[in-house]
Amino acid sequence: MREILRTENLSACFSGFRALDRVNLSVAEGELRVVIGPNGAGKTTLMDLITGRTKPSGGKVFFDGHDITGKPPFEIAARYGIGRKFQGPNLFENMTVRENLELAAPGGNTVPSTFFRRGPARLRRGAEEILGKIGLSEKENLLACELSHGERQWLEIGMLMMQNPKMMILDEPTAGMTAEETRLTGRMIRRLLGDHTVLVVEHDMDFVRQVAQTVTVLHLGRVLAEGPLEQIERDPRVVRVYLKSGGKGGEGRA
Amino acid sequence: MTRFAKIPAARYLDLALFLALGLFPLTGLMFYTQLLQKYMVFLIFAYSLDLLWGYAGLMDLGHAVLFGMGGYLMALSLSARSGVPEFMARYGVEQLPAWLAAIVPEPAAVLAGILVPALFAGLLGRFLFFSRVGGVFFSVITLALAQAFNLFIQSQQEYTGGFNGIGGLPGLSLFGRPLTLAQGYYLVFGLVLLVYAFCRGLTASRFGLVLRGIRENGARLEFLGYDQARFKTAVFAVSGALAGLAGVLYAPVNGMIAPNDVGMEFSTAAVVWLAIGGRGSLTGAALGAMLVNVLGNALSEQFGAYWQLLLGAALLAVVFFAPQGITGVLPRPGARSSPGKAAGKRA
Repeated sequence: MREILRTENLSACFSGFRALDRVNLSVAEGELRVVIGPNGAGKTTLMDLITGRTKPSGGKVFFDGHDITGKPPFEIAARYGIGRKFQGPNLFENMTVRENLELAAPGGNTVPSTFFRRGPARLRRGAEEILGKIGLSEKENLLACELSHGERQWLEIGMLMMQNPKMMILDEPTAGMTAEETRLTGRMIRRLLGDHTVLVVEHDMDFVRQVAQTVTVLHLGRVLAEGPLEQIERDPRVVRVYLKSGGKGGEGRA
Repeated sequence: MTRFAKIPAARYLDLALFLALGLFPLTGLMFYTQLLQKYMVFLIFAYSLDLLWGYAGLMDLGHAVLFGMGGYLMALSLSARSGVPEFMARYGVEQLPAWLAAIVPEPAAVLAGILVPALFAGLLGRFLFFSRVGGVFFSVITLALAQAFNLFIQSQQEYTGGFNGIGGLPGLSLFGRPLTLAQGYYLVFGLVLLVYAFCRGLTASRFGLVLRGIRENGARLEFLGYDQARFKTAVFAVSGALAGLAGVLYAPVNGMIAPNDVGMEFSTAAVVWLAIGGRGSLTGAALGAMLVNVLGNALSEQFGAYWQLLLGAALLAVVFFAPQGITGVLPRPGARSSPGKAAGKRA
């Protein structure tokens, strides 16, 4: 399989604190990769560096053959095709469900392409289909702030489907969900496979077992272990720092 | 459900306002027709601020600077039609400077009055938004700018008439032909409709969607591929052009322009109109501008300067009981819960 994402010695420093220390990561096209690790391991920081939210203090990020190190987020999203779902829903609160999806539609991201234009019609029709997939067809005219927590998470996953990037980054997509919601979300994410490369940060080991192929374990800003889930679960180092308390993560949920 | 039911309640308010404005001159009340003509100019100014603040969430506390650029350029053009104006001659200016001579023809003055503030806003946006200046810092910088512009106008006495401003301006004219009050009124009315249609079209387009996205969560928008600095700069320039147009009309309609019309005072007045009327719907901006000015006129006849106290009380009441302004309590099509609840969450 072709490699789509590679980080080389990627590091991040926040006023002296090394949040990420020379991380080398390689993700193949079409892969579903899960990143786990205790709180403060640098998982979200890694996502921030890949999507351009934070500038790295060292190292490189390559995506689809391009060096995207330190590029601004809008360029990484529009030009290179990396989409992101944030930890805890990050939506346009006082806009309707449908408007949230329409904003995520690609192909109308510049001033001239939006000025007095409705945006691509094909993509506006795509919104109907996605509303069905995330189970919010009946609620398309509600404001995002009027949805329940689980629905808000799904709306953000729907926005990712709408954006249709080459790679999707999901930061704790099941945080705060009930077991049933978590299961539904897992199914939603597995359906995204095949079309997209997916990178998921998760704490919930049940969820990880449901979706994972390859798992990368981060600890104190470094890659501790990497491999198939069964192997990771047997790895004594991983068990010591992360899996010891019944697979829910040493410090519990974030 | 019919298609008709999907039209938001606010559109009927727009229609009612335009009908009232369109029919008012038929009453033959000259004084109030003239007054309403001035308030219609304010309407254009209110729409311009609503694009920026109501839609994109950029609270410009110095919006009158852009208005004033249009206004002063037009006032200078009007007063220089027959050679060096008197107030300039008093300061020993014997010949019109080249830039002023260039805007003496009416079309040049109108064009300059629209383009100069648009360009100024575009440049300012280029520096502020691309340096990630936003939120309250944008407001503080524009507020300082309003004060600076006011002082600048006052200091350039030989060209701006200083503290006294430029007065004795002729009324509205079109292609060099002076217009009667009724003609002038309907010219301004027509422009109000045009500006309204422009703003409606722009905000209904994807551009408007992006502007609201910036207001709600600009940082998130970047991860969907939008460079929010570009959109902010674009809307600032468009808003500047419309504010300039309002200024261009204001000079002849009001007959004079003074530093008070271009500084903090007038800027905050417009902010108050939008706060009371409601932001981000155009309807609220129009409603607020009309309501505050019409009531202000009526109340100041009754209570003199004390009417400002009443305005302050009204503003406080709106902020406490309807934080989204008057139009914020109107029903939204397709809403489940009461709009009051949604508005409360927004605040």
